[in-house]
Amino acid sequence: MDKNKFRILNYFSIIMLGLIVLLPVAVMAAETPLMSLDAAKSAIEQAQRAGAEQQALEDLSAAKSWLALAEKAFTAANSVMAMISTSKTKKAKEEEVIYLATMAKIKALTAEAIAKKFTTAAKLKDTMKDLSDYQSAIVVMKDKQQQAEMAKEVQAKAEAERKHLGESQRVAEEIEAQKRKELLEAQRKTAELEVLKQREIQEARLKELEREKEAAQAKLKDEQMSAQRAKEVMEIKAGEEKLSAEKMKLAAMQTKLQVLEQEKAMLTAAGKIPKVTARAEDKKIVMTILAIHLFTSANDLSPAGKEILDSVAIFLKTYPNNKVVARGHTDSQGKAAANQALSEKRAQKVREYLVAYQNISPNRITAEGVGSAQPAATNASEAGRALNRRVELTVLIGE
Amino acid sequence: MLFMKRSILLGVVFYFLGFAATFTGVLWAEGISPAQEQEFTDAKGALEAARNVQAEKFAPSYMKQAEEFLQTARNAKQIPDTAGFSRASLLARAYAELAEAVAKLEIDVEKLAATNDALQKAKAEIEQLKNKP
Repeated sequence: MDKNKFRILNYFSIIMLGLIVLLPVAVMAAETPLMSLDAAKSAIEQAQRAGAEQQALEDLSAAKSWLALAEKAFTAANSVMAMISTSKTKKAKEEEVIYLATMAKIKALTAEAIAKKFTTAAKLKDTMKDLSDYQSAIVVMKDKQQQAEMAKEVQAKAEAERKHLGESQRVAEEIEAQKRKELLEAQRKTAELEVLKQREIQEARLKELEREKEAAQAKLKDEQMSAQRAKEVMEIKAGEEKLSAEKMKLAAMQTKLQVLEQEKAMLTAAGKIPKVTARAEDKKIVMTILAIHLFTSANDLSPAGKEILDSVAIFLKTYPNNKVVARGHTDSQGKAAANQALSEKRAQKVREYLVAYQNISPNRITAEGVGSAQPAATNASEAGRALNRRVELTVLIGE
Repeated sequence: MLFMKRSILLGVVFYFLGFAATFTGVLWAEGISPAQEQEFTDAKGALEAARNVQAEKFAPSYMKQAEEFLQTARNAKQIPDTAGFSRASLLARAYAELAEAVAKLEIDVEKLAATNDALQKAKAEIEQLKNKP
């Protein structure tokens, strides 16, 4: 029994010792209403500092409301009436305060988190924008660098090509120089050949000229001989021509002599015709018959006039190949037109008679009137006017 | 020594008071109202919403608190303790909402950190590009 008592006493001692050690710690660690209130206030202040008034006003207001309720409950719990209340009631009131303060604290923490979330989201947005800008810049820079590298490559390629081109140009220049040299050599040789050729040509030309000279001299000699012969022929021809001309001249003179003889004969024959005055002009015989002997006052042929014309016809028939022109003339009295008509009428009358009554060919004789245009004598006197009123029969010789 | 005695006495007293209060609550318990039921449902919804944003990863302590208070509410409902049920539901919902807000914040913080990291890398790359001959 003593052993059991001792054991129980030991257990009791251990329990008591545990209670002595743990209870004060538990009491000290236990949350008091005041601590809860302070924590809630602190959380609300922190939320406000985080900008909850702008970004999480609803939760912040809720936190404040919960805090107000907690403070009210705290005041009630510490009132005089509460002091005299039972410990059970007091504990319940303290728990109520702690609960309300805890709610206020949680709401404040929530408001703070939401506010911070807004701030963080804004920062995130800005940062993402910055990142996007930087990434765009990177892309641009990379592009630029790529372009620069490509440009470098192109430049390097161009440089290589330029070098290659320079080399090619140098080679080309060398070739060109070589060609120029060859060309000069060829030109020199050509010039030499040309000189030789010219010399040969000149020599050949000289020989040819020599030959030509000889040929020319021979030709000249031939031509001189030919010219001599031609001259002789020409002289012969000229003599012949001169002889021929002389012959022709002689013939012409003979013809003229014949004409003159004919003219003389005709003039003599014509002069024998009564009432007819004949005169010789250049290759023609003009027979003048006064109008007073030919026409009546009515300008018809008078019988005496017909007889004269019969004699004239005999004369004309003697020389059947000679053409005849019957030309009427008047004096200047009266109108010119009337005189012209009268002269034509008288000439026509003479022609008609010779053709109709003396069988003179109409093709052989023509008639015309000249009015008073060719007077044979002055028209100032009656005698002169009588001489002017006439018909002239012109017989052409040698036509 | 006197302080220790008082503490022991206070501890014993509180212990018995709590025990008596529990039984008192059971004896005076009233029925759970529809509004209180709604508060409990809201708390569960808030907890689900918090889980959806990975609050267990980003705010584990608050999630734990919310789950504990939800369990407390369930227990209170069994007794039933209407006041305890209501308080626990509200606290569970508040902690869940806090966890959700903190999770969302942490997600953005992580994103911000990653973006800042990328930004620093981009800056470094730009510097490197600048210095590239």
